[in-house]
Amino acid sequence: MIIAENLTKKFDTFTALDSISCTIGDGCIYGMVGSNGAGKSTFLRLITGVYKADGGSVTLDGEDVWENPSVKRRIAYVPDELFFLPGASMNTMAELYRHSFNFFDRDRFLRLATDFGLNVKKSISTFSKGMKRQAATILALSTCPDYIFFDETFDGLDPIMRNYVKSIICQDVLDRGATAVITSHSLRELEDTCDQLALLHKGGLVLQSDIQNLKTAQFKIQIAFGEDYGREKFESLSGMKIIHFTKHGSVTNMIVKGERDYVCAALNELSPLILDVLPLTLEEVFTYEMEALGYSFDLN
Amino acid sequence: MTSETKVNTANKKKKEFFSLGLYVEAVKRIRLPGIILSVILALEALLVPLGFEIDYLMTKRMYGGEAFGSNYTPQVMSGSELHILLFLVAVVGAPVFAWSLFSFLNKRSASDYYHSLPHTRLSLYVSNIAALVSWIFGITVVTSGLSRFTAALFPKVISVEAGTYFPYMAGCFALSLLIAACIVIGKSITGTVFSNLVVTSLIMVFPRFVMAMVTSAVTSKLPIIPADHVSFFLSPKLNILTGMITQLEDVYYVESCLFDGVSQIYTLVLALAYFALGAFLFCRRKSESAQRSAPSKRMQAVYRTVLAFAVSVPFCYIIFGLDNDPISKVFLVGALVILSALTYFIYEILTTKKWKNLLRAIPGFFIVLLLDVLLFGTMYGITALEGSFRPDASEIKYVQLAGNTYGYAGMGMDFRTYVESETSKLKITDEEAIKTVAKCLDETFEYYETYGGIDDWYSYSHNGAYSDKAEYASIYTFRIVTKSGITKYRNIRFYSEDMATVRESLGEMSGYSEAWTTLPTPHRGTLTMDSGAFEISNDQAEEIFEVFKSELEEVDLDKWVEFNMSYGPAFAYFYYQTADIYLSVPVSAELFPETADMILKYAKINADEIFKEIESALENYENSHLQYAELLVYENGNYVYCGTDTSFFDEDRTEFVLSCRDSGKFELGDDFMRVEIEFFDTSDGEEPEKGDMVYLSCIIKVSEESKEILSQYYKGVFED
Repeated sequence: MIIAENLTKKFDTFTALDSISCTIGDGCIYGMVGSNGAGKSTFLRLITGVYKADGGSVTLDGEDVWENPSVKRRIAYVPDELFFLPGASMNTMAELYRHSFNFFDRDRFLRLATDFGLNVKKSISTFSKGMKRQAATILALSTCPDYIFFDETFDGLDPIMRNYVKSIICQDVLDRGATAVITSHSLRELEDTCDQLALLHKGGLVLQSDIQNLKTAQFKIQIAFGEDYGREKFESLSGMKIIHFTKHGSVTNMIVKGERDYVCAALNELSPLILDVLPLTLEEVFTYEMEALGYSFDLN
Repeated sequence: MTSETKVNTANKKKKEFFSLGLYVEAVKRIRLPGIILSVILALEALLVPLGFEIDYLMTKRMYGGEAFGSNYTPQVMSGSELHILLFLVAVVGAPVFAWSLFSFLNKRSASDYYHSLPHTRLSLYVSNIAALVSWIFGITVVTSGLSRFTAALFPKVISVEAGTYFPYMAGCFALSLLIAACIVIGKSITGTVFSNLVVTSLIMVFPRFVMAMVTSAVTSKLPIIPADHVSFFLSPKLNILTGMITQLEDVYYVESCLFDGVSQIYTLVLALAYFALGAFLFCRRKSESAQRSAPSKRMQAVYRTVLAFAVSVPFCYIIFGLDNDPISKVFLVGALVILSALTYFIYEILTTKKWKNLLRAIPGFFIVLLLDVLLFGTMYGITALEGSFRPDASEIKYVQLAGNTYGYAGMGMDFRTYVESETSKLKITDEEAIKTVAKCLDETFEYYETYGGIDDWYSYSHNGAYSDKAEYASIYTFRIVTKSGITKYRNIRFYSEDMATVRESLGEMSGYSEAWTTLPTPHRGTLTMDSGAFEISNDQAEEIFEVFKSELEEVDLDKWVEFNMSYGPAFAYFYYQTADIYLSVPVSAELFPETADMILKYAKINADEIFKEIESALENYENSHLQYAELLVYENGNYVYCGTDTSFFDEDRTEFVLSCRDSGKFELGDDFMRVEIEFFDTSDGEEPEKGDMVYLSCIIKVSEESKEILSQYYKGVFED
């Protein structure tokens, strides 16, 4: 279990993470989204022990990560900006991993490399950007980690490889109870993989929730009336919160937070000409959340 | 394996300070420069002795086979001469290794990567340092061993000063570690190439640079203090690196730094201390410091302040040295402020690339000026403190005549300097001698206060007035130890009568005569003899040396001391390697008659042998292709050049040359000349080839009758 309590990181006067607290349970795939500079990478570097927190704490199974090799051996971390030893092949890197990670699985490494179609003897510097990311992913997953931390890793993989990696992660979670934290700009990448999602904004944790809950707690309503009406017609209704409201002629589109059946029943009592309830994509949920915070989220 | 098992297994290795995996990876990472350097040094180790052997074989082939070989004197070479490129390990290898291994600290992704590995920072640091030290040690030991081994394969051409190998290796090793440690510290506290270079340079030279400036300022202001004795820790040669940098043009000084045991220990200890400091700084370093000139604003302020202060130090030194020149002082203070300010702000803008930082940095510049003021204060303070040391004779416990301080393994040293070094250990407690030293110290101060220096060559009478007839004074360095425990070294002017008093006291001490009459034991096979025109083989030199030693025990001490002190003309010299030095001992024919007789005896035996060969060759000259016969004339063992007599064979003249020979016993005062011939030996009946070349040379004693004729040819020769 990962527990972050009031986790704070500053770079000179800039606060990259500001008192973040969260709990990520074992066997959970935790997605983290946020705009550029939101603090996603900094969070990952803190929970991998690359950075030392300026305030608060982060523990993995109750142990500090900072300067703790025993915990770090259980972590596989693929950063957004990759690094390989100069001139190294995947085999060379695997040797380093074998020496560093007690549970490095050479067979898994070779199997994954074959599946990805990578030549383990070839210098990584000759690989394309996507291949380098694949190589880093293979190396990381070959350590049979308890914790998998991927920083925008999916963004550099083609759809087939992306799905393949996702399936491996899911398999590790199912088979070994591994925990994964995956950051991305793109919600689409996380939507079908993660159990939980968190939204980071300007160093703060704006939102974290179970993905199913997120999807059902908000929805889109399309409604029309014969008579002239405005937003105030709905605000008086209890059990629903309007997140977003647009009206074109007699038709209104609303993003609403509330209990779906209860809201539908309440709106039906107003005798609308049309009433459609549509589910929101995660991307829409986050876009509207961000809008509410005064930030326009990039819809990829 | 379950997660719980993993936790339990992993927790066992929580306190980690070294990782074999990281070590192996680091060793591999620098293998390319390591292998290149190893190959270069190995080639040198193989080719230098081989080159000497090839040269020997070619010369032997050209000048006459076995006869030549038996007369060939091997080249005496020290470890540094045979394996000079070992120096590259320190000046190229160590910087490249350290730079490569810690280059990840300059790149954010690389820094993050290494810090994400499951190792402690200390483990990462120690493993990298271990790899670096392994390469340095491996290259040093293996290539030195190879060099020593290869040289041993050719004993006819190379005589190795065995005792110089280890000190040279130790010096290079200590220097390599220090350079590497400085770079590691520099890299640990900076994050860009430019700041790496600037800060590393500061770490390498700045502390010693300031010390050297303070020392130099004090000793130039107060020449009574010997430059290398201001304080043990202020001695520039103590730190091999800075000792070398400050005296780069002086090869002997560089060697003295490299070979000096105290310097080696100091440098090694300093390197280890720097490595420890590096470990501390590396462990505290934040990964995000990569690609930033300094880990924090405070450290950035420290760097620019130290750099600007370093620029201002020479100005402080010059200003301090100026006596009464207010205009120059004002000008120099202005230059100091402007140049240090420029350095201060240019460094800031180059490293941070933000103009607004210049404004923020302004208050910090006053710290630079404050440091300058402190430096002036230190210089004045030390000068005043040292200048106040004028003890009364009653306060002095003992004095020592300080000897040569530049001795190091392999260093050439004459016997006088050797004895001075030995007698410097003697503590003079004689009241008269101490009174004399105290008096001369006072007089030196008076002289200095009157003339502003303590030159020994200008002839000033005791009352200070210049006089051609006034006695010359000599400057001696004394170590003065007071009863209160203060120890100071002082350059003191002595007139001969005062020095005689001190020497008298010294002479009464048992260690004094012992030092003059006991020779250190030569290393086996290193003893050679140079007796001018005479040729003495090394085996003969060994025999003569034994006779010399027994004569030395009975020698007239005063005359022997005088002979050495005045560097009187020596009849011959012994040269040999001791445990520490390469010693030359002069032989006086007057003081060592038996030794001189033995030299003459062997010289005659050797010369007669060769002369027979020359005669035989000349008798059969028709069968030979004589190239030239040369006549060189020596008077009383001293060479007088008369030039080549015959460029081509001249039968009459040759007969004359041979007729000049007196076959009698060689004696002191005889006149000698050298006969040299070079010819192709074609006794095999075939056309001359390169390998048939024969060179023969010997001295002959000149008969009385011939001298007159010779003196007509060579005006002035053999004339009384």
